[in-house]
Amino acid sequence: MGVLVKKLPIRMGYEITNDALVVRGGRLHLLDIALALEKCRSVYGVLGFSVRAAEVPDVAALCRLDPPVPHPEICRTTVGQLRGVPGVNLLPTFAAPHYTVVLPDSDRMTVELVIDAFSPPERNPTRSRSTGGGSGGVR
Amino acid sequence: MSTEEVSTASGREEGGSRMREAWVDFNDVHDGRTTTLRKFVETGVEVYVGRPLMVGDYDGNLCHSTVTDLDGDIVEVALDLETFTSVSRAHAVNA
Repeated sequence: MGVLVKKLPIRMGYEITNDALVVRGGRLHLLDIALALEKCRSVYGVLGFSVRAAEVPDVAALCRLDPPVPHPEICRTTVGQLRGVPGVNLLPTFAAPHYTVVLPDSDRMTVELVIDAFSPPERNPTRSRSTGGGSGGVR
Repeated sequence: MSTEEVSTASGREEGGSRMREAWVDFNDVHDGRTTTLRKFVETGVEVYVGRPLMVGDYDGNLCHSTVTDLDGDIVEVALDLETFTSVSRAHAVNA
């Protein structure tokens, strides 16, 4: 593969607090994370994957922020819990509330530590029950 | 961890008539568009600007899209999020 690295657009001037909520749409399937990491590394030269984060009162408010989370299920955590994983950082990228979770390496153990920092899948509170996606609870 | 290490699935395994032609991350959508890599396009699927492409992920989420740009190995698509659907994948677990 040739040189593909583009500049990752980083928002400057604001530091999100450890109490801020973090949501990733979907069930945090290991393969989805692996492909997301590989794409981010190939395109931007950064080993990371996308989440949304903001200082909002609840997960529903975070899922409603534009663009709304389309997934029927989501996994949640906090900024502090992610920063607690050794070597992991959170970069404010693209337009808020988008963030990139940056990993120190793509070792399976590291990826699983990051996944374990999230809750088990739960229903997206902004989606109706008729939109499918299983009952949640098990990744 | 390489994608080969954990990859055993294919878009072709999705149930129903709508099958994934390329993997995308629906968390990485900006102004209705996202990117993927040519290597994440299913074998035999040719991509060119203007081509409709069914994109999805390993959770079983699917969405119609149209290829809007090709830049080396990067494939950009515009998503029609009105068509976003999720196939029940209650059996899906992290490998």
